Amino acid sequence: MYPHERSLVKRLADKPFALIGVNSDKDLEKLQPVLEKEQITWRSFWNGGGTRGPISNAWNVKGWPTIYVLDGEGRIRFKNVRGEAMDKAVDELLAELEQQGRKGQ
Amino acid sequence: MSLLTIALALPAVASPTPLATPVPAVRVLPGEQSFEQLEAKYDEAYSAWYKRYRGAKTREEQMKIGQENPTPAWTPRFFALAEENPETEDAFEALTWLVSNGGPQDRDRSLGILQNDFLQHEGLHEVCMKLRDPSLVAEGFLREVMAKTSHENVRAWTTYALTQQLSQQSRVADMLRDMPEAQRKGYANFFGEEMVTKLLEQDGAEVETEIEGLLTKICASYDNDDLKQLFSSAKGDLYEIQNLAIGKVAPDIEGEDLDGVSFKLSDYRGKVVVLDFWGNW
Repeated sequence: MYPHERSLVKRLADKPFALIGVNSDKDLEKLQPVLEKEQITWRSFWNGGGTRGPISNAWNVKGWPTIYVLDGEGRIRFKNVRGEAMDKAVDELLAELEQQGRKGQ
Repeated sequence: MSLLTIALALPAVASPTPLATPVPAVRVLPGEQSFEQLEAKYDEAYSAWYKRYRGAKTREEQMKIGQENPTPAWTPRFFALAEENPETEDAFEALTWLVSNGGPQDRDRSLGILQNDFLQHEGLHEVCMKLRDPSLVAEGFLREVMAKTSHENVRAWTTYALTQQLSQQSRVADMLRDMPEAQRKGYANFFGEEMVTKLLEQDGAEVETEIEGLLTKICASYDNDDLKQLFSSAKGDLYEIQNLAIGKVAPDIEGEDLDGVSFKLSDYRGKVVVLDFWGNW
């Protein structure tokens, strides 16, 4: 997981793109060294210390990882895409966003 | 027309072969006459095998031991127990065990017996909740239990089990549609040709509407203390269908990041966002 996400974040560093996590670990202190070691630079919500936290509950998350891909308007466009399929989904939405930008000018 | 003429008129493959292969007679052995005894003996055999499996030194050896999983050899003994003690608790438990531990054919055969002999059993929902793998027999069983049980508790859980069965069918249908035809063969072997055909033909939106209807019914009918867990699961699933489906604007999230700084998901409007529920485990 981490290497793929790292490369995605790196590849799209200058694009209108963000990887946002919702972290469901139990112990924030034990997580800190992992963030450093795995170079997890993207921002995460803290789910309150476990898989039954308020955010994952509100989103009815039952399995980890669960992934949603949102477009520029905050609309849910893909669910649970991994690996190449995730890259493809993101690229498609970025292209869409770029096209809208051009039209708006 | 004589029997002989009929036999001659039939194509060669269908001629004198009996319809079903006879099941070798397995009798209940002394010392395995109750479900408890039989299960204890099976557990012993399974643990011994599992220990060997874990202890394998090479991958090759592990694959070989993997083939020797004792479960298929034991399922006839559970059927024998159920069939020699019809309509008893031992039979019910043996059949429930077969639904969990047997292959798809064992499961379907057990469901047939359960439907005949135990339709009014007050613990039938425990069986229903195990029926997630796509199966036409399982779906039919769930619908039958839902319609005919006289226990409200069983009906409630079975309604939810049907939503789980239908959701799983939808997930597998999406997966099958996305794969090349040659790859679907393996799934047809496992889920049955008929199930796979139905999945490829079904209208996903129609199934979704039925699931939504069933969940709405659960939320409307079973908001009580005895069914708290069921109610909250159904409510969560219904929320997901109504607010977290593809095409919906994502509900906002307000929270703190790992450094304790507050932020909102909507701060990222205008960007493409991958929202990743993750944990380091």
